[in-house]
Amino acid sequence: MHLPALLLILLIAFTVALIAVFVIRPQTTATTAGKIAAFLGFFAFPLLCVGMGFSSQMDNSKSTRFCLSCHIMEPYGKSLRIDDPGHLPASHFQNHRVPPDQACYTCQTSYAMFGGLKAKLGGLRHMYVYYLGTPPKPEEIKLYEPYNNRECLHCHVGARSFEEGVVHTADPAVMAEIKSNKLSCVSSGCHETVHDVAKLGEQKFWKEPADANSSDH
Amino acid sequence: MQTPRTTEGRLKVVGLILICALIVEALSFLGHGAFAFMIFSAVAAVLVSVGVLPYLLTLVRKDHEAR
Repeated sequence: MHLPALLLILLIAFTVALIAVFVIRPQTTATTAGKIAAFLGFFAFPLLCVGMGFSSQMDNSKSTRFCLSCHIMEPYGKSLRIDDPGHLPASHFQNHRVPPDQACYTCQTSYAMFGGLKAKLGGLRHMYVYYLGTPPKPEEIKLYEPYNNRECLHCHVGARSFEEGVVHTADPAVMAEIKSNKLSCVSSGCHETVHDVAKLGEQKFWKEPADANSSDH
Repeated sequence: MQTPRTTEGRLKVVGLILICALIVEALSFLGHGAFAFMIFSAVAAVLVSVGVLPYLLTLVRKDHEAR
């Protein structure tokens, strides 16, 4: 357990104990010290617990393990282990071009103002559909809007492999079109194979070494 | 169930609600998936709100009664 989570559990335990004192002996609140302690126990600490808990949960919601906890996402998790460098998410995941423990969030958030918030709201919508609605089949899941090159360029712009890439520099117009999002990175003929979950049965899979330290998924 | 009329009775009810909320919150940290998040936000956070608001109301009422 991480230290912040341990601290939170300790705070929760302390708050429960403090509240229990007032539940068992409510007359304790008669004194000034009792009133202050009651205010802390009934108001300040519970709100602090929820605030810290919310922060911890939001942090956890970025994890690959969190995203793959819904069955509908399992094929997408499997596609990260396809043994083919032509598969964009697989090559990013396996080569740590994205943090393996936050692989989904790193690419699915938008790197614009309120991008993280927008991604979280999208996640809440997914949970609503998953638990209370009619979830689609994994292969029928579509993005709300076309994938924006901004998300790729957030990491790749300035990188030598991108800026000096043979295809990227073959025509000076290409680079300008990529950077202005006129030519999509995932367009046909470029990096087009993304989460091809419909054809998972035809793929070979990479087996992660047992001693790899990317075990958070 | 009758609504407790005394401040002490109200505090007991509020305390029990908050204890339940905090226990649920602690349990939600055992899971790491979307279900744990749902339990935290839909049960624990709501119960804390349900507990804290009556406590504040109790304070206001107590102050009002004292006058």
